[in-house]
Amino acid sequence: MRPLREHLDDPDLAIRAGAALLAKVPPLELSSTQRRRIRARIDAVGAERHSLGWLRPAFAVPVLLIVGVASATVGPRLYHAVVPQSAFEQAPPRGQPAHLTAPQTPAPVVAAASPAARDTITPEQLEPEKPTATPAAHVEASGPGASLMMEALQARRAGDTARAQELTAEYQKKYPNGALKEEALAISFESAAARNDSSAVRLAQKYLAAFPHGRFRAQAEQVLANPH
Amino acid sequence: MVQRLSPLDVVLEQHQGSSLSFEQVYATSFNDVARWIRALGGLPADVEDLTQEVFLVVRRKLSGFDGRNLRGWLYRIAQRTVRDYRRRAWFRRVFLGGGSTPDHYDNAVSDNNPGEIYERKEAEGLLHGLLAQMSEVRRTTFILFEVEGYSGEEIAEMQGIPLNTVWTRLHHARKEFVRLVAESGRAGSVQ
Repeated sequence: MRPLREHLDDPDLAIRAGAALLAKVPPLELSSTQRRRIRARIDAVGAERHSLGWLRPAFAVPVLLIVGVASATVGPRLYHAVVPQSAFEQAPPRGQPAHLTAPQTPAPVVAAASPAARDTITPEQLEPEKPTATPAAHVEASGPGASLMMEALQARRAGDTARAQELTAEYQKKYPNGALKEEALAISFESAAARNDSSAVRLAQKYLAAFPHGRFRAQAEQVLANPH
Repeated sequence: MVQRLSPLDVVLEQHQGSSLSFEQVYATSFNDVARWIRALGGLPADVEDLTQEVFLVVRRKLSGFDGRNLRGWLYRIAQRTVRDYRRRAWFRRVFLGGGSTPDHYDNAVSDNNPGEIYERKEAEGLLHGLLAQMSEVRRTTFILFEVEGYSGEEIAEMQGIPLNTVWTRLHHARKEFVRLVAESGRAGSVQ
C-alpha cells in the first residue's frame, strides 16, 4: 500500500488535498539537544530516587508508630461505642458475686460533665449505650426483661418516679443478673432521690457496690454526698 | 519515510538472546518512542515529558523484559503512559478548567526556513483537528503509517495485531480522512 502523501497526482480532489496536507507534516524527529535534555532529566530523577532511598525507613518507622499508637488509642473507644455495653454483661457463674463480673468501664462522659449536669440522670443516659437501630432489635439485644425496663424508662420520662421505681424493683427481682441491671439500679436510686425518698442513699450504695466503675457512678456519689 | 532497518533493529539483531542495556534501548529507540507518543495523541508541548516518563518506566522494568518483541514492549509502555497522561489532561480540563492546546512539534527536520516552519505548523494544526474526529485506533494506525512512515509489518509487530488488521484499519482510516478533508473544504483550495 502506497502512503497517501504520495498520491499528489490523484484525480480525486479530496485525496490530492489530503496527500498535500500529509506531505507538509514530516515524521517527528526530536533534536539531539532534546535527546540530551531528556537523558539528563532521566538521570537526575534516578539520582534523586537513589539519594532519597535511605529516607524511606526513616519515614516509614515514625508513620507506622503513629498509626499504631492512634489505633491503640481510638480502637477500644470505637469498639465500645459500636458494641452495646449490655453485650458485655454476662450472668455470673453460680455463687459468684455480681460485682465481680460487672464491666469495669470508666465513665469519662459523666465525669467530665458540669456539676449541674451531674445532679440528675437524663433518660438518655439511662438507655444502654448505643442502642440498636430499631426498638424491637434493642429489646431483643438487651435480653429478657428489657420490655419491663423500657416501661420503667418511659415512666421515668413521664415523671412517674414511683412507677419507675416499682418497675425497676420488679426487674431486679425477676432478673437479678439481667443485662440491664446497672440501668435498673440507676433508675431506682435516681427515682428515689427525685422523690426525696430516704431509700435513695441505700440504693446508690447498692449501685456503687455492684458497679464501682459504672456509668452512673457520678450520680450515685452525688446522691450520697447530698442525702435528703 | 523512516529508514526500514532502524537502529533499534540493528541492536536487536546484535543482541539476540542476550540482555539489552538501558543505554542501547535509549539510543536506538528514542525517536521511535517520541513518534509513537505523537501518534497516540500526546500534545506537542508534552512530548518531551512523556518520552521521559516512558524511559523512566523502561529503565525500571528492563531487567524483567523477556527479550521478545522489544518494539512491542516499548510501544505498550508508551501507550499506557499516554493513556494515563490523557486521563490526567482530561481531569485537568474538566475539573480545573483550561488546558493545553496543541502548539507545534519541535521537529529537528528542516527547522531553518521560517516560512516552512509556519507552513508546517499550520498543516500540523489542521491535521490534528481532522484526526481528532477519528477513533483512537484508526487515528493511531493512520498516523504511524501515513505521517511517521512505519510499514504495515512494523505497526503489526508493535501493536501486536495481525497484518491484515493493520490494512483494514488503514483502509477505513484513509476513507474517513479523505471524507473529513472534503468536508472541511480543504479540497477546494488544491489545484
